[in-house]
Amino acid sequence: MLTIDAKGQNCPIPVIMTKKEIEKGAKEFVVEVDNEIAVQNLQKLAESQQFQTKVEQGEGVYRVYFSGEGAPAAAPAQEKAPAAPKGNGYAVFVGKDYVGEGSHELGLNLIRMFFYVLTQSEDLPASVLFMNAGVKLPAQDEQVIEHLKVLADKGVEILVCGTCINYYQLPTDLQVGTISNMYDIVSRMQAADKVITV
Amino acid sequence: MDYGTIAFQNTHAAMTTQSYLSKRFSISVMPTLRKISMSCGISIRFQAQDLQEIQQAMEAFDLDRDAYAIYAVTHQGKDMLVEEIK
Repeated sequence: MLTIDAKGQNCPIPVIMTKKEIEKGAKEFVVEVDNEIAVQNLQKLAESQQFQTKVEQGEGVYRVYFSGEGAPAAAPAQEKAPAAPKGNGYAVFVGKDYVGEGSHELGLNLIRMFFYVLTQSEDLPASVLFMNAGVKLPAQDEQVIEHLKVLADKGVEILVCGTCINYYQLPTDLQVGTISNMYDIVSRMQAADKVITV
Repeated sequence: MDYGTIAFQNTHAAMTTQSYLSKRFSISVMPTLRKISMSCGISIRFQAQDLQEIQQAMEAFDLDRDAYAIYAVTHQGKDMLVEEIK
């Protein structure tokens, strides 16, 4: 069976390597990675390309078996970010776990209040995107987690950078939001009418 | 009463109160309601059922009584009723 060795490769390389094989027409193959974030991103890729997956865990390795018909051939020559499910609306980008500069304590409370105000608003973003230290909020801040849950219930997409979760050694089982990657995060930015950076 | 809110004279009072109350209660920070005129823009929101215990906790807290005010907030359609609890 075709084996794609993506061990030791950082996000988004495993996804890129796998996508290339799918575009070449591979239907049954296995991708070897060494971290859980990569597994989750591969599962999301499989879903979007209509593949089934099965995951086996070994010694320091995860084997993700792909099988299926694949999506109907419309593959572009070069790597492109997948189309976002929502066309318009606005995106909120959170690259730090506080707002502004000066006092971190004040900044943390400001960002909690920002999300609180969104929960009270009718005009909701299509997506909220977390990267770098921003991922600490959906991963650990009780107040922000509660607010994000309210937003998610109302259909707001919450994406949390997997590489960043990994880097800060935060738990991958999020209470709210989905582990994501640069492709999906960029595509939400491109699809939005505007991107607000908090 | 849908929920309660505590408004403060200054930001320092708001943030130290948050640390104090968050150990016992489920609270969140919220912007001070426009109907309330207090100096600090950070208020604390607490659950309606915790009102009595919050009042007791605030009395036990090392903060001047005139540095904060507690309110009951009730939503009535598009309107909001904000009543101070003395």
